[in-house]
Amino acid sequence: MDNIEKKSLHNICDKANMLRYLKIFLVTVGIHWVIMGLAYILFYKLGGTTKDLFSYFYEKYNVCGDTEHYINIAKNGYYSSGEYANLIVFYPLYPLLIRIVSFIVPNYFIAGVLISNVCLGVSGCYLYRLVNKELGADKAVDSLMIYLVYPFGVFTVTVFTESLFLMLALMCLTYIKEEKWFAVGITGLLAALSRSQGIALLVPAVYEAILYMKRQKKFKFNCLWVLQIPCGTFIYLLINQIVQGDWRAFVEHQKAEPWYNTSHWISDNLVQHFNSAIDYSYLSWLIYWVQIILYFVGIVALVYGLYKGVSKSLIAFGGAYIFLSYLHGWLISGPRYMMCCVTLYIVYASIDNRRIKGAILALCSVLAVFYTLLSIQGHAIM
Amino acid sequence: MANFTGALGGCLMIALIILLFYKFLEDLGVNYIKENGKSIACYFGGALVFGLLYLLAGFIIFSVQNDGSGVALFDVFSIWNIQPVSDTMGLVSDYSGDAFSMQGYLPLYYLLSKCFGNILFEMYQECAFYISFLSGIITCVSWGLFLKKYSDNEKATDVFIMLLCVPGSIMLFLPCSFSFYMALFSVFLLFLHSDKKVVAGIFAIMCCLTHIFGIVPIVMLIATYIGKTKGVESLLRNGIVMVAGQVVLCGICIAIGWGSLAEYMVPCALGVLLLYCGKTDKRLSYGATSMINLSLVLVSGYYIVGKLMSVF
Repeated sequence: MDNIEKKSLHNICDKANMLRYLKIFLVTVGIHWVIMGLAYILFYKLGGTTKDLFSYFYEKYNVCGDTEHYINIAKNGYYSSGEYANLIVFYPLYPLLIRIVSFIVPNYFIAGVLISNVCLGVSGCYLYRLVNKELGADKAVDSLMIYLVYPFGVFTVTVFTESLFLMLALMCLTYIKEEKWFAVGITGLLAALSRSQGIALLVPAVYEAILYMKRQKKFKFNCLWVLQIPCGTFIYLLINQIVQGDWRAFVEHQKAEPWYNTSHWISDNLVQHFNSAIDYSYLSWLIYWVQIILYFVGIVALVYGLYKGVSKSLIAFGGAYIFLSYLHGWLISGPRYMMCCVTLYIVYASIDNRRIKGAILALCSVLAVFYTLLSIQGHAIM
Repeated sequence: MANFTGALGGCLMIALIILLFYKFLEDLGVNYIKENGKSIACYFGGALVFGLLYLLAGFIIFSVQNDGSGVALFDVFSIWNIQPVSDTMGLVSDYSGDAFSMQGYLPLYYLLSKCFGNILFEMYQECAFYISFLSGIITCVSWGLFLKKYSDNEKATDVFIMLLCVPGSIMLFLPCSFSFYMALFSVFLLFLHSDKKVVAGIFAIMCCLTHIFGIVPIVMLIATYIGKTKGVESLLRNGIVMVAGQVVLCGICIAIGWGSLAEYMVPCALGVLLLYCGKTDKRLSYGATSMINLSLVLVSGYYIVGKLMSVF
């Protein structure tokens, strides 16, 4: 094959790839909105509202959970003192992006929704790309399917950091697989600037960098780019120091009202979740039992993934992510956090038994509509 | 149920970390891990079962003794409030030079527990327990691999089980510097007999910084350089040095009032069993081995019950 033929074949493949990823992007965003639509229809039929979906979405999610805080930071930055000083507990990247996009889209909430949805679509593309390399095209589709129907997926289309973190984490893990170390460092750094769990990406990055150097049989300086990942966390600590004069100012604010969040060993936190599930029956199946089940399912899934031959670095990321997430005392967002443990989608894809996969997919789909409905209704889905 | 869920969750996470570390070593091509993977898994499982059963026995005895009080299975400091565990409780967060001069506790284990405790939200006692339990497993796996070098599978298994039945072997899994010392010593022994004397030397130094018995590996290392023997002869020599060294040190400790019975018995038993491994190719009959194990377990049971019920 001569060079012209090779080049045109390359172009055709590129175009085919672009088309495929465009479809994945649209499907990823589309399915989440379909779930939102289905839940909204149920809510409408239950007499919950007379407004259309987008009006209700705007009215409800503009003031839901941490959305107000992100918008406040995007508008005004961090506060050194006063009533809003505690907003420093939120990591800076997402509000910064909202601020940047707000120059084009003046409404901060709409800017945030736009960022979340674009990041969501891109995350779907990278998940497909990663699992395609890892397990093949069919399994990549399977992982995408379960990703689309994760029960607490409502947070990916609203003004929360989930989509941004998912996109960056998947990009980082994909580049680790492709041994593009500079890209690993940049995406990891940005992930560490978007969520506290971003530092977990250092584990698979270092793991694979060491093995890469072992295969090359020499030290490779470009592998040092992975050390950018903890720099993201360092930048956040530096912001704490500059704004409030204390590297760990966020820790003090997290301990105080309204979060009362101190870090404890996983065992202690699970005991607290268990007791809370017993004491607060209303919240038990909204928060506590779900968190406990997801923890154990997550650990078992990771071990299963090791058995099935999923990359050990991906398993290590999953373990590190779950470890960091469940160190939070008084955790009430466990189900939301676990959505970003992307290794679980990959482990799901590695299951060979299609009946079991179908059953899990069906269960998640039903729960996705159910929990989205609960979120729309204003229940404690956090 | 809540405590059980929490304990199970914590243990699963630690088990996952250990499993991933093991897989990482495999990926790095550490040939020893690859070649002995199955044995490591077997001894790991055996050690885990023994350790958990000992803890369970202590939990049952303590619960009955205290009218079913709401203590958790892994609340080892409450259940096993005996020497040297009771001393560890205070030392892990506040080790000072007095601890050595008054009671003979060397710093490495306590400083390591404190270091991890500082990372893990000032959970000093929990870290001490995790380090000790892990040390117990490392000790048992190292023993198992070491015994396999000099005996066949059946004999190695016999000796492995005997060692875990020795009265005082519970201390291998409880939070105290002795458990950490035994892990370091066992790994030292493995490296010494694999002709990796420099690494063995590093572990010998760590033993010295962990427990007063740490002088024994130093003597063994010196004896290795002087003796220049290999194979079974070196095993016999090391066994003799171990037993002799332990007897002398135990005598001194008993005279000063340092240490506990468990700390004297386990290393001596190890030395004797090393001699058994090295002295003869023959294996005790199944009946004899079973009777020895039964006797050891009965004495262990007597020791554990007596200690937990404060009889002695």
